[in-house]
Amino acid sequence: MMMTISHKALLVLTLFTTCILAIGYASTGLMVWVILIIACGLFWLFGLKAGWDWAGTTGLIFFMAAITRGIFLDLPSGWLLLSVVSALLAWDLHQFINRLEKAGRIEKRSEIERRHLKRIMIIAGLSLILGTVALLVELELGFGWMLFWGVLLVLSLSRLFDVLGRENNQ
Amino acid sequence: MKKFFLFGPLLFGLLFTGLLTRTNEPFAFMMPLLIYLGAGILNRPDKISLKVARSLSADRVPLGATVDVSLKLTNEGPRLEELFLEDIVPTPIELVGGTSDLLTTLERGETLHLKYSLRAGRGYYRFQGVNVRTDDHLGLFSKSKLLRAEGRLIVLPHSVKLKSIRIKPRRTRVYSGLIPARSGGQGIDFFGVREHQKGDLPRLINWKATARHPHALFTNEFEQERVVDVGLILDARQRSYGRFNENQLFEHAVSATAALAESFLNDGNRVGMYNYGRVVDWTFPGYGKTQKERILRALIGAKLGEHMVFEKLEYLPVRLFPASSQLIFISPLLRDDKQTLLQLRARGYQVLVISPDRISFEQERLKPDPYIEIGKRVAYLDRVLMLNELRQADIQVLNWPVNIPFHNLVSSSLTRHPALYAG
Repeated sequence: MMMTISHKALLVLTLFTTCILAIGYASTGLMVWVILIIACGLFWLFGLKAGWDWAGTTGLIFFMAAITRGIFLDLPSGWLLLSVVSALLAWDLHQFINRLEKAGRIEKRSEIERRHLKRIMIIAGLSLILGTVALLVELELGFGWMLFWGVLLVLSLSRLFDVLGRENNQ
Repeated sequence: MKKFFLFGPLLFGLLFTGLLTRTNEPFAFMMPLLIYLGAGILNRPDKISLKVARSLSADRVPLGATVDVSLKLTNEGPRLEELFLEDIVPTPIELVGGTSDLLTTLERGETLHLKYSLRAGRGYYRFQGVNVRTDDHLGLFSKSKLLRAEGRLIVLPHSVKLKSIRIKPRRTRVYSGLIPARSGGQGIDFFGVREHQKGDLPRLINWKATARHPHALFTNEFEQERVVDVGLILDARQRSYGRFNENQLFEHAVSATAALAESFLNDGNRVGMYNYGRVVDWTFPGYGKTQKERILRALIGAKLGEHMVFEKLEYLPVRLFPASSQLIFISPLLRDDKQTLLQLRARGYQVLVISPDRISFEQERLKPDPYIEIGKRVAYLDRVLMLNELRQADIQVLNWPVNIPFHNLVSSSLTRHPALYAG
């Protein structure tokens, strides 16, 4: 398998996510979760080499589950935010690499890769900035308000997915 | 499942966690997902405005030739970040150079060329168009479209040039040609002697006959040469060719038919063709290059098949062929075909059978085995008996082991006078 810049970035991000979460969980003494996280990271890398399309999605879901669990365990928020961003970008790169490998012939490959990496770096930067701001801002909301905004968010997202799904099928 | 649907469960999971814990962390962790989704939505592909033009290096080629296909695409719309295009190649065409798909990025007004080479079997192929799909850089949203770029390719059957084949049907047509007409007149071959008539050339006087009859002059007469009606019957029944590499053997039969049609038409004869198999495919007799084209087109579409009605040769519509004309039957031959061929001969048709040898063809492709050897010998004896019975009925039979080039066999066997041909 030829190691392009996307492959290298994916490798780094997967290892980074694995290490951050593993260290975070190790600090709480939950070694079972540490082993599971390391196993997931290795499984993701193996899946990339084996050409399993679903390995990235499985890895992202597991890491997000581990991050969500970490919220309950009071793991450092900054580290969890970094894990979310790096797991998301690793998943994106995995999907991107799959798309390129499924195509028979590619022209302007380096340009496509460069543009993609530029875009996800912008997304990473914005995510970290806005995520950090969201962590620092403390808002006192009653349960009712939180429920209201939550339901509104659910309805909006459902409607958005519905519209995007129909648009995509046209 | 589309990628963006994955975000639903993740976002709802974090939202639920936020409601449960009543902390701002889950909402902060939703930010990267929402920003990613937002970036995808903002950059999702617009409609595809591509203009495509197809060109082929040749649209009519002989079997085995390579054809270069070139597609020119121009983007008349906004920039396409990731454009995947795939030319719909008809099956069963084989790509021999390049690929028929491509992933690239295309700016507004930019032109892209996609080239590849292919080789195809005998047949008629139609190119429909190009499937294009454009994705945003995150691969969340895509748009697909089929761009019409029609093209057609005709692959002709393999045909070899044959020497003039000597046939002698009982009936000829009125136009002059190369086939002896069994009647006296102008020609090359000596036919007979008749009494001298006013206007006969002095150099044609047969002095020997005249010397024996002092009071009369005798003139040499030559056999007229005319064109004839030739009916080619290509056996396209599946059962005639077996179930073992049958298409290869059939291709030999098709190429022999094409070569024969070309040879007889080049000699000025009137040729018709009947493709007897799955369907009724009759090419009405005609002359010249136009007829050759019609026959080649009919052969392009010839395929092996089975039909209950046309299982046996006895349903061959003989009345389509002019009475006492020359029939050429190209077939590996089945046992029950013998009776029909004898009946055709009895009706006055001059019959020539060109029979690709199925036994030697199949045996070459089987592993050596004593039982196969015995089976082959029995089958071969059966075949020899059948061919001899046909020859005894004054049917010309040419047994063709297909590893021998057809033109070699024809030049050694069919370019002599039929009466001299011993099979």
